[in-house]
Amino acid sequence: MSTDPRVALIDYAGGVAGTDNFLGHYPQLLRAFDDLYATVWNDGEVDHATKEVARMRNARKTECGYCSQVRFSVARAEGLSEDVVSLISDEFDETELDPRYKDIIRWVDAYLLDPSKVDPRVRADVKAHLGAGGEVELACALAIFRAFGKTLITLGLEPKPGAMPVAIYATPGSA
Amino acid sequence: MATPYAFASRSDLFDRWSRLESAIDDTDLDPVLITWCRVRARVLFGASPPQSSIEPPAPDIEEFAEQFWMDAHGISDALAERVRLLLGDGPTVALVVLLGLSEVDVRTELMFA
Repeated sequence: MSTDPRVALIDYAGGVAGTDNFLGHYPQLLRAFDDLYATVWNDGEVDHATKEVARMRNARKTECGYCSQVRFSVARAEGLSEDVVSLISDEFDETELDPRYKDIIRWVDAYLLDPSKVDPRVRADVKAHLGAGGEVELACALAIFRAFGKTLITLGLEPKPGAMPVAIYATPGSA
Repeated sequence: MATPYAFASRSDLFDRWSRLESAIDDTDLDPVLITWCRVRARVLFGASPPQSSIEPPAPDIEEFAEQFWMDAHGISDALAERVRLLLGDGPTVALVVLLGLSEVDVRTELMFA
């Protein structure tokens, strides 16, 4: 892992969520990402807090230091406090975390570990909470979280250990 | 194009995901390398059998890609720098984004199979 950028960064205005400095190499790629990310967060059927639980779980399992320290404003306003976030740990099943969020975490873990062997009950639980369209939306959100978390890690865009405090940012596309 | 079919029930997401994939195709990344990444990710994650007809990229790029998929934290500074020198800064960014998208395309397909 590196905390020094491995490529030249571009000062490109208009991006969201800190991606502008590397996706700025290709403005069409930056625009496509921003459009998708804003849609996933703001135009969907699934509440922000649920998607934030998935994002935080991915951050921990993927070990993305940047992702782990960022919180998005709408999810925070919906009640996803630091106390709740702290329960999204490897011991989540033994905590007082909302059972709905526990089902979301099991679904995220299945996606990240071996999606070809997902327990049908895990998917059924999430579909019961979110509906079929909501499950697709969650998958799209998680796909972005996973792909771009690993992108940050690989390009050396991670913060140095302990250097980045928890930061609340405006939810992408919500301003 | 590799947009997961699972997204088809949500046209708003499917269309935007497709545009993101197309934006990769519109970078100056070698189309042969783009194809190799998409095919190799499918093989590595068990969605397709091995395909000998796909020509592998330069050894450093192949090692970089496979290390990304196995454990991105394991990519060394030296390997990353060799890839950057081979491709340039912009195409290296495009490659890394492509590797991420290729992985989650397959994961999503398997999850909804």
